[in-house]
Amino acid sequence: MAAYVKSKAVVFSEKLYARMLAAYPKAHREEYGPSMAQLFRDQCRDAWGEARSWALLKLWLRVVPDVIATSLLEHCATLNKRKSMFNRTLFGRLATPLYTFFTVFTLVFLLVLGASVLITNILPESFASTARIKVEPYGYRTPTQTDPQQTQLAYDPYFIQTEIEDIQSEVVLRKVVEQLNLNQKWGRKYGNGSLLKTYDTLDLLKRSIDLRPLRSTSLIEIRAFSSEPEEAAKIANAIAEAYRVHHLDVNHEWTLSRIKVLDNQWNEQNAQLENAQQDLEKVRGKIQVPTPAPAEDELLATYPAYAKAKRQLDELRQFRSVLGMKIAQERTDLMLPKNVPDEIIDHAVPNHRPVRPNKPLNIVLGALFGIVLGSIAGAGVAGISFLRRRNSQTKSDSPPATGLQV
Amino acid sequence: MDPEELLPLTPAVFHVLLALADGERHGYAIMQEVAAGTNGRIKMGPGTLYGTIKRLLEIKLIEESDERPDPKLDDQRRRYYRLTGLGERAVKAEAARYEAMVKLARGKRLVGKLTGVALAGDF
Repeated sequence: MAAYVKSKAVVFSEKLYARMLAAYPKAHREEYGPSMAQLFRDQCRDAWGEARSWALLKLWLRVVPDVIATSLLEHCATLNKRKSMFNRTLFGRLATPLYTFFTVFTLVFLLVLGASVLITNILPESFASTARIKVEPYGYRTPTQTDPQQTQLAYDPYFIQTEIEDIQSEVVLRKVVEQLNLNQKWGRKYGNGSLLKTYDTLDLLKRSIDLRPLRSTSLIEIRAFSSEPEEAAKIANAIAEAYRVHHLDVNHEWTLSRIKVLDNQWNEQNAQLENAQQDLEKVRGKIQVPTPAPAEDELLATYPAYAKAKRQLDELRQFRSVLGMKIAQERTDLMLPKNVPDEIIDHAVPNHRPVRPNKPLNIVLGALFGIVLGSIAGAGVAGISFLRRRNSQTKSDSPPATGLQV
Repeated sequence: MDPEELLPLTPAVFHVLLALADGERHGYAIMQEVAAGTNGRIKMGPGTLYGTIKRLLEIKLIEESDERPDPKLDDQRRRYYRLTGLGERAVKAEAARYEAMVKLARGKRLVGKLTGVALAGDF
């Protein structure tokens, strides 16, 4: 073939095209760049030979879109190839599931944590106040073994537990309801303004208190909860006071009932004593006992019937004397009880720091729950994603069916 | 690999394979053959041609033969390409597919006698 003389336009076109090859990926450029440049030179030569500048222009009109489209295509292909190669490495296989895991984990964790924070802040606050009361046993007192003059109460292992139930009894709590006017107050708060029934108020009250014994002591802790710190303190104090008064009343009633029994015995004893006196006078008149009566020994030897009746009368008088002392002692106890009265050790004071909801605890629990739930959800989604990727990768490892896109 | 799995081929691929059906050729010769086979209606740009060649090499439908200078052109060494067995089966399968389609179209009186018009559309 005869050599042709290149025009400036052709030379410029060749140089320009050589520069345009920079639009292709490096690997493609290195592999096919020279061949593409050579093909372009061939096309330039043909075009120049065909119609000079006009044909050269038409060539450029075809080549420019060709360069733009195919360079983009090659870049996409290179990216896909890199991605595919990355995915085949161990890190590549694990990177996507790990990313999925951490994404899902983070989302679920933040969701749960956010919900716990929100709920904790939405929940109404509850305040607690605590009163402590020292309880003393009461009931039958028995003489001690060492000193019969001293008395002691029988040991009751369930005493504290019984008293806790006693504090929660309707008798005690009803007094609190009345004293604090809770039917009306809680009616406004919980009953849409209408007056609450006492048993409803009692039910609410029972649910808003917590009683517990203090170990190795005879103290009971009365803890009351309310949405208002002042109300919580009032309830705790009112319960302690109501229980103390109730305990005193019971003790009082107990003593009164004992005095009543003793009074009855006293009356019976008086009647017996009177009868015994009359019997003695009859015997004396019958057997002609002189006045004054002889000495004890002579009386017993000369007038045995009279001596016997006189002894019975003396015994009855002695018993009545003891009974009288006992009654006097019980009356003294009524005024000055032997049992130590219950004592309120600590009065409840308003505590302005809410105990419910426990914000730090709720948030920590929310975070822990978020970690667990996030891990499960993340592992699940990542596992499914990994399996799907593995399956699709197995398919993509086989040659493409119609992958010859140009 | 079953060549049927590669069907349908894109027009560019089919034309390049057709151009190599007669024997090995270098890029410029392929382009000329495509242009001649389509009455000059399809003139492949360098980007399209070598992009196609690259993909055909990757899936082993064509292979590169030894480089040599083309005495008819300049003295630069040119890269020659030829069909592989798979490439030959693929181009035959695609031609058969086109034939079946033409028969179908003819049965519906959509085309007349065969002319030399290219089967493929624009690139």
